[in-house]
Amino acid sequence: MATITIATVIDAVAALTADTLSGSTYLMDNNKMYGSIGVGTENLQTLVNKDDELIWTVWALEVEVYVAIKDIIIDSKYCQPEETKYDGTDISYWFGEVKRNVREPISYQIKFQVGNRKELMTLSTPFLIGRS
Amino acid sequence: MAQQLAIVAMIDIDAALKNNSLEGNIYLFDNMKLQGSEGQGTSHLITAIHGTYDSDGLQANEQVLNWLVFGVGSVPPNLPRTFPVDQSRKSELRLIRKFNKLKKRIQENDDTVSTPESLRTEVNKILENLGSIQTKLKSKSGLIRSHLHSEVKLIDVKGKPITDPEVITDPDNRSQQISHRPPILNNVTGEAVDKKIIYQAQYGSPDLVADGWYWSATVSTYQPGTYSYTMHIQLYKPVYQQEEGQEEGHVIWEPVYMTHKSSIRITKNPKQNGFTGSVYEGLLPIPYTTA
Repeated sequence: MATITIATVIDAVAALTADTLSGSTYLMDNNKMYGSIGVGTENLQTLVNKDDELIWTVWALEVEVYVAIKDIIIDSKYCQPEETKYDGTDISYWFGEVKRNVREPISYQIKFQVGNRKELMTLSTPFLIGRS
Repeated sequence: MAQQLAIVAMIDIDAALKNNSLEGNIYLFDNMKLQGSEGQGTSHLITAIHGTYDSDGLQANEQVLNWLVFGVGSVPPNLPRTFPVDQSRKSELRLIRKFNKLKKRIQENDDTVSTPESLRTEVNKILENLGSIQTKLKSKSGLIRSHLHSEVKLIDVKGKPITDPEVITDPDNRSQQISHRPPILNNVTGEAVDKKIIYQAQYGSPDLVADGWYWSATVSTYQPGTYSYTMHIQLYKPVYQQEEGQEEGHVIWEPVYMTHKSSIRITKNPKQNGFTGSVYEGLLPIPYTTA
């Protein structure tokens, strides 16, 4: 049972300028040693096993900018991420347990609030993968 | 002055400590992608720096680089700086409350805590859930001291205290993700510094994410070209120690020094008026209006 952190770094200024997260978003996890692929890119494929706990955090390239995860859409058979705040603060992170082993790669979406833009921006490129 | 250039390094600290190398475990980014930086999100970033020159050929404006280093598996830097200290305080208060409740049960002659064994079980239960591990810091000279003027408890990436020492001592135990002390940039050296392309210095900051220090450099854009530089990064490795005769162990953050090379690519163009596109000094295109 492993705890895996998936950190997203967003160049918010570039994302808002180009009106898309594509090209300005980088995903990293700390599972590269155990098989994750595409670490540091938009196309992160995190290798997970049943009972692993996944934690999603988000960072802005320039720390003065506001970014937050507002939703994670993933097949609920595999994971049901929920939002929680760091104790005593307004800053949240998302976590979820992997309910079953993954065979086919599972695509999922993360919806972000970037800056003070009302509409959420969606990233549809990450995957969860299992051991083949 | 032009927008300041930020170079961010995200480090997978666990992997870097295990492999004793930053190569492949450090992900570099900057905010100059639209200006032509290459290698975003990889260990090999070439930061594009656009210089400008005046009609006399000399440097016309300043470019400033700022470096920020973070850990991938750490709590985000926008959390209040006192967060680990607050969590330590809260867990201590919870511990005191639980023991007070236990004391009440004993005073009320509660049967469930009448025997020494049952009492021991209750105490262990409390410590298992709320007991936590103190941290100390080891400096370069080997001096070990408590930091932030109090013994801060070890927390995980969710902000919860770590109670089981095996999470620290057993490399295969990944049941909790330790929130590592943030990496510190110690120095910037290399070709870009030796050739006097960048003038680097350490500055103090009220933001304590890197113990209040950050590195910044001004760039001499007079000489276009690609120049390498080396970042000296200090990671902290959690080492669990239990002294003889002591029941409680603690964690010492031991500094581990690593270096990593990156590059900058300088280009230069004539200074241009952003409104008119003119390279010459002149009037702005403000329409003539009558009062």
